[in-house]
Amino acid sequence: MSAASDSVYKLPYRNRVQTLQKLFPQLSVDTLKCVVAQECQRRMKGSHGRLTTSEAVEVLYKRYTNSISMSEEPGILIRLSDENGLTPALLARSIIERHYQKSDKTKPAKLLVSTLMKNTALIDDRDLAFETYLCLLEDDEYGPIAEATKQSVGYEYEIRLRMELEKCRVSFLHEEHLRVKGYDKTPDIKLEIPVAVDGQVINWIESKALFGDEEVHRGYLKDQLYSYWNRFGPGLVIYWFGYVEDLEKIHQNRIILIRDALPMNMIFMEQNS
Amino acid sequence: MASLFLDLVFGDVPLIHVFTWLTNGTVHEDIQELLTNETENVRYSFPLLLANFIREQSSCLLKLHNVNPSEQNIVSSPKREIFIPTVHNLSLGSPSPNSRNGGNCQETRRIRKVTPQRLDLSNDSAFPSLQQSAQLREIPKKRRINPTQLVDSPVSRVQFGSYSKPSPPPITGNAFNQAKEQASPKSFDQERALLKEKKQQLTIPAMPDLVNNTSKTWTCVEPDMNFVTRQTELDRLSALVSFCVSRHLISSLYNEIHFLIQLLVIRVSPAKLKQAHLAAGSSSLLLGSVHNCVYFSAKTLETLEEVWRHVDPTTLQQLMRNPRLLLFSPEWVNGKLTRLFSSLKTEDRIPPQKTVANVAFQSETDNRFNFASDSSFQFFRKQRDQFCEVWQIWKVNSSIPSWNMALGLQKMIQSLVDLRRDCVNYAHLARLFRSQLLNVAQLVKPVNYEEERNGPLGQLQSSDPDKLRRLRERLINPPDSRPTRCVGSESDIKMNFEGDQEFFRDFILLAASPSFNEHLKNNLLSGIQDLSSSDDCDDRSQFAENVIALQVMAKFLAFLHFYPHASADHLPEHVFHNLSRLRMSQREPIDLVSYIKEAFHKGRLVLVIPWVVTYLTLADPVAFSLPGFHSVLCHLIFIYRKAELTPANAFLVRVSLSWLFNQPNFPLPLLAKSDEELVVQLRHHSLAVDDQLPQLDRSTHLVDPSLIHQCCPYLWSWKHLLAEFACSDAKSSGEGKASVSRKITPVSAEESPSPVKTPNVKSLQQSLEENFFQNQPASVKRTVEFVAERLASNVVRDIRHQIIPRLVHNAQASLKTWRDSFATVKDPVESLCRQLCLDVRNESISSATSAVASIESTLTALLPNDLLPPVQRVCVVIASKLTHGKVVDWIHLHVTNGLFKNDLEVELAKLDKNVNRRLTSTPSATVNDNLPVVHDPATLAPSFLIERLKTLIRQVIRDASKVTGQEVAELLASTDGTLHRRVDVTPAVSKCLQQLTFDFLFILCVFQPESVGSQTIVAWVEFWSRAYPSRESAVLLETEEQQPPGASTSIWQVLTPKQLLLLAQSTAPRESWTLVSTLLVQLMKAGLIRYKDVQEQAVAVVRQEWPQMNIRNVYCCWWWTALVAISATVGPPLLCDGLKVTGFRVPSLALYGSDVELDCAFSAARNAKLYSVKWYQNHEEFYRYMFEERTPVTAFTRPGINVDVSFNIAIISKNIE
Repeated sequence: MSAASDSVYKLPYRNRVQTLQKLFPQLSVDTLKCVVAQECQRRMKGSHGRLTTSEAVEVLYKRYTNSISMSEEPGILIRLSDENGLTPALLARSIIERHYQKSDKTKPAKLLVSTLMKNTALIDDRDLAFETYLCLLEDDEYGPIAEATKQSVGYEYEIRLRMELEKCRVSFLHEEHLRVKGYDKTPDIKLEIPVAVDGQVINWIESKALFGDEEVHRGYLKDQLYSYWNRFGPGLVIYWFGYVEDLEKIHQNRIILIRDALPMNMIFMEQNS
Repeated sequence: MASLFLDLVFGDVPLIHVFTWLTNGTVHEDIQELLTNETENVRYSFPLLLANFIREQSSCLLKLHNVNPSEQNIVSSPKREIFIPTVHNLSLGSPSPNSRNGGNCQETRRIRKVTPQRLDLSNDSAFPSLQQSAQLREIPKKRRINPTQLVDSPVSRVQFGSYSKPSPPPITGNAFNQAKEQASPKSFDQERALLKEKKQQLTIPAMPDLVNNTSKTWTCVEPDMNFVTRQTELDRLSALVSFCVSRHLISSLYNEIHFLIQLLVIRVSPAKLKQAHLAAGSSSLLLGSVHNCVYFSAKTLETLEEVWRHVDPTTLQQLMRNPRLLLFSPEWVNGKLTRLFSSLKTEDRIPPQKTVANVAFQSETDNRFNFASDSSFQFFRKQRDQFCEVWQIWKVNSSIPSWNMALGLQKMIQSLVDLRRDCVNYAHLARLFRSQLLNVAQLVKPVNYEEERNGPLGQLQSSDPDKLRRLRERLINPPDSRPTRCVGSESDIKMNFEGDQEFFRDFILLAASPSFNEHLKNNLLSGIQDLSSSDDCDDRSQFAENVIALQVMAKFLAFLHFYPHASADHLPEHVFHNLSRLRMSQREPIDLVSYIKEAFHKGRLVLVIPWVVTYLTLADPVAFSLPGFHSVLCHLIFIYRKAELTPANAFLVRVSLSWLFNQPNFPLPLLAKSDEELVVQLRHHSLAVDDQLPQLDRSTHLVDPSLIHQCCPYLWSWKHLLAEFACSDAKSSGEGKASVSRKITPVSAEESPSPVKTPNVKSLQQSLEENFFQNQPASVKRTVEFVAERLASNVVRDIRHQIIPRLVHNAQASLKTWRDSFATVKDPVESLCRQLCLDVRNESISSATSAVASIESTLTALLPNDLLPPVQRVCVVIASKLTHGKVVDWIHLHVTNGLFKNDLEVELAKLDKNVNRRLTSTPSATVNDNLPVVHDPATLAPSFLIERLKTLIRQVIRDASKVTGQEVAELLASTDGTLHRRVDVTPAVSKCLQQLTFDFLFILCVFQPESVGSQTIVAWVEFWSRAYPSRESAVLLETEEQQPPGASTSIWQVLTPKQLLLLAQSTAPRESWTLVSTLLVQLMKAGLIRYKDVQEQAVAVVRQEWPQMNIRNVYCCWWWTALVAISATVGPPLLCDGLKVTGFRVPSLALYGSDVELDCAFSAARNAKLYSVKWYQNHEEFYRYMFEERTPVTAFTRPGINVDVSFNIAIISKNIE
């Protein structure tokens, strides 16, 4: 799996999932998609600031308006995106921001822009609206549709985890319960009665519907997993789409197990005295 | 005074008389003359003086003791020159050693003489004497640091620092040989590697010298039974000492034993001895020779059986294996001591393991309701994580010597401590700090005794490298060098913390936050209070936990309290007095005297004394002179002398106390005071109540050697002395390690003792109740209070989570009805709040009453069985009353009008907003409410569905790939399934699906009208109206002015510039138009689009400029506009398919300034009544025809347009500019 996540950097941007699929037929499409998505996000994190300075956007906007006045074929923004490196949705967002800029050249309100992104029909310029729409269809990582997909996948696996746990008759509280009870940090699952997995006791489970590479994992450790460990002790994180080997080494002495599915060899506390 | 002892020891007065005198003061006539007049004073100072006397007697010899290798090093030779001893046996007739006996004692010493010689390293055969002399006892220094040297070294490696294993001396061929053989070379190799590594890490400058030191070998005088002089006198002295120690007359138990062991392992080189003899004539002393010292020590140690029963197995083992002891009292060693050791071994000594190292989040104490505000809660969340982070960083890095905590963590610590300057946060942080501290203090490091015996260092290395480091530090600074320094100095206070406690100490120092310190102090105080009076001590492990926890808390409390008074310098007299005057009125943070008194009366000294001692040990020199301290110390001395405890408990208490008395700042005169002078008010207690409390002091199972060693780490030094001797003596790397077994569980706090009676104020009933509990076992009261407390808490939780939300919801609903009905009540919120408050109170009370019903069964189960039924009934009544009272208190405190006002006002504001926007639907109706309970995994996952729709749309637009009607129908079915038969559809996803399905259908209408029939459209619209009822999606923008002109945010955007642009791309415009108009009509019919919205959309379209469109597109566009204008103006009820635009004429070109005719023909169905027709130029309306109006035509004059209102419905003339 780490091979896949390494080779993704060397591939051309478009259709990488398909290419990877041919290279690594043993891996699932979901895993590959995740690998690609994470690489893309990483790349954007690195270059987004540079590509969206007001000067850069001005240049892009000029090019866009030129193309429009030349009555080029639809798909102008997508072509621009291919050329420039910003993902289509991010590019469209920049162009919208520029298009709706106020008279003093300041950016429009964020809320307005995201409303327009969510419902492109509301964009008053028909060309921009259509171009943006095409961009959103093209972008798998950014934009409201991609966001909704990601959110949906995450929630889907959370639900799946809950159901599997229920099937195993594990008693647990989930995030919403914990929030009602006023917990400051809420793992997806907090086991009310701990179970043991492969000789380790776990007290909570976090579901991650993505591919766990080191950077992703470090991020989660810092923001979530260590916080859970601090509060509830050892736990388990599930990367449903696989993870890089040896990831557990990062935690040093803090025990957080990593799996890619709910372990079926859980050992329960003896209930009958 | 010394003469008194000399007379006693050398005389023939029966010692029994001295003992009687010491115990009760009766002076037998035999000792009358010895004591002369000042009997009473002497009696109490006698033990102290005795201790001094022995020290004087042996001081000359002890001075010569080669204990500190670095001393040796001062006179050591340059590195490359190595001296190897050659040994001659020779007898020295000693110069008449004893002045008193007139030198008639002929003493012969066996001495090995050391003659330094230059060594040729390359030549092995140069040292035959070394291999051959069987009696040679070479003592390599610092064997414990570098134990590999002890293995048979290959010939080639005989060089600098190496040690050739001598052939085993026949005399000691027992325990030591075994020990040596047990240690496998391999483990030694490992140890060596480990030590090397450690050495390299450790950049203490002394280290190279130490390493160098190992090359030194030296000889010493071997004690021999035959050379012991004045055996009878020594026996008498030994009897005196052991009597004083075992009767607790000598108050420094720890120190005496330490001293005796020192005597046992004394090692003096003959050369030095010779020098010393010439200088001081020390042989005149009773303990002036090694033989005498060892004899005396062995005899005395033998009698102190009480002590050995309580030390840990390693110390015992060291004693058993000590060759000198074996030589001088073989019977004892082989008999009692061995039996004792084996009895200890057979004991089940598996320490309870505690593996959880983190502080658990307790929702009872840690959740939002324990904070004053959200921000405070959020900040503490950060503080908690940062604290754990700091702790983890420390744990990882602390063993790296080059790592500096101040550099690494100071910023982080300071920022986290003062992240929010708020008492609530400080209090929580202090609690977290304490919990973590206690957790760590009790963490068990599993110890395997077998392994420890075989290779302690190896074992240590694998289990705890940090400990090894500390051990090494101690080797460099042996603990017995400590008392010579001023304990008040900063570094000394710091020294009391070891291992993980260093982190907490440094945390406090680096945080440097007075507020945090204050809160921490309070927290520790309350922790000590709680644990000291805790009852859960019956269990052994629980008790051990409590003792350790108390000690740790006391230590940190003392640190916080005394650290400001620390000084690195020795204080001059006047400064000392000034300081002590300044602190005269200073209050101790903790009332030790009352703690001690209470402990004494209730028989809990064994729990309290260890932490009191720990606390006092950290006190600075000035503090010991304060009057408040004086009384505490007096009490402690009294307890040392008089307290009656079971043996193990007594040992723990006394050894702790003796450590305190041994502190250099301790005012020694106090120890010599008589019982009466101590002015201790410890009266004997006889209250019946206390019978219920566990008398900890009387129990025999609580204290075991491992606990004692944990509480008194300084006992380590005994082992240290023995082990050091053993190491250098017999090549066994026996480095004892204190067995550690720790574990903690926080103990619930007990209510403070019952309040003082003030009958005047209290009602008769209350005092009755008080008396009731007074005469019942204390557990009854606790049980009743506990049950009441828990029940009340449950009721309150029920109120908070069930009753209040339900009633508030109802109130919000009624607020809505009020809003809808436009009732006349002026301020609904106020009255509603009042009503709500009443309701909540009533419901809460009734819920409390129903909860109380279960009290009887609960209490019956919990209360003692032998209580009379009436007593039980009273308990039930009291518990119910208490529960009720607590609930009512809570209600009065929390359930106020203000509690609901906020909720209701927010709701009202929401309603107002909605009214302004003419939204009639309930805003609370979300998709979630419609969620089914059953989850059907067979339906498509939402993410998959989104992906599929997206791909389809893309393909239709971009690749013009065909979608069949069949596929469309299937898609509808699966979307329906996903939305209604899955539980994992979030609102955002549902909205996204709404958008995508609509887009999909619209795009199909445009690009593939052939695969969409009007039936399909009807089906989809029907689905939407089911799935997304009554425009709940129409969330308006917060700031109106930012809205794009004329647009609402509804998803059903049929008539927007974008959609029009799409339509313009249609290859079959007619079909597409028809379908789209059907779609529009259906949407309006279903109520998804409002008539008003369509109008707005149409206006927005017309306002657009369509400059560079080709003719066909313009045509479409105008055509479209007209359609819109007309269809939109038809009232929704009458909307039907009958309206059609039949003709539409607009010249595409016209001469500038000429008139043009714009023509729009339409036919309406029979019942259709047209409302209006409007024409726009660019963004402005210039003509309007209202069918029902009296003057239907309105023309707006625009620059460049003159409207001629003359023809049929509308004739427009327009001047082309």
